Amino acid sequence: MDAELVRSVRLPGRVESVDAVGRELADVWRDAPDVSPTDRTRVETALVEVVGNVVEHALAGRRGGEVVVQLRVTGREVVAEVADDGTELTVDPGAATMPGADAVSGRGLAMAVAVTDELHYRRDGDTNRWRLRWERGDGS
Amino acid sequence: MSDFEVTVTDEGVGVVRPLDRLTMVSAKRFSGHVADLIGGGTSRIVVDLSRTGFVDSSGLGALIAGLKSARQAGGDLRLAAPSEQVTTILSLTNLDKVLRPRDSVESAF
Repeated sequence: MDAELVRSVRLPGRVESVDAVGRELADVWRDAPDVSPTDRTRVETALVEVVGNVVEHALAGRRGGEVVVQLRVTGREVVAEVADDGTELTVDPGAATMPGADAVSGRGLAMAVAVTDELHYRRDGDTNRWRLRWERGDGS
Repeated sequence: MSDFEVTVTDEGVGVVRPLDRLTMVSAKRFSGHVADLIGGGTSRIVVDLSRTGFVDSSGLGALIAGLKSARQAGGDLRLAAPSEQVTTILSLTNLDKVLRPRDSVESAF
């Protein structure tokens, strides 16, 4: 892909937005058909977990909260920036570790870390900002 | 919402088939179907993932919770026909050891 593709979407701070991310990505892949199935899986798996974390924690119980997702696809990488005005995260998502096989929760951020090349979180004034980056594979 | 099909085979095996994504949005309804099957005496359960393109960590949690409940009731919960995404996340969470996927519903038990 020569040109870079940029897509931005604003989603309400509720659980259903987790599935809206999947629909938005399906739309992005239609316009970026050369992104490999493996890379699509990595992007969607991590982005769904981060948006899920935002709506479940940062925006929990809040009316009118929003999460903004911006995605940039180039020939070499995919970068997602996720922003919300919810409460500050109290854990370092980059340090998330995978719980044991019998755990029924606590896997989300560890999964996101495992399928990204970079995952950063920072608090910027009243805004939470996440940055996720994936280097694109050769399609194998 | 009819986003799951639930049947019981002639052999008494419960089959739960998510018709779309299994995520934070639908995981509670999935757990409800599993609880209904076990409550009704069906503790051997196959989750048919042939129509489930995507599972997130909440979906995985619901599968593990279902597995525990089924085993406590003397049965088991097994996966059939996972997509590439599901196979990938089972592997990276090390859950492919406890939720070892089968090729089809028929071969699960």
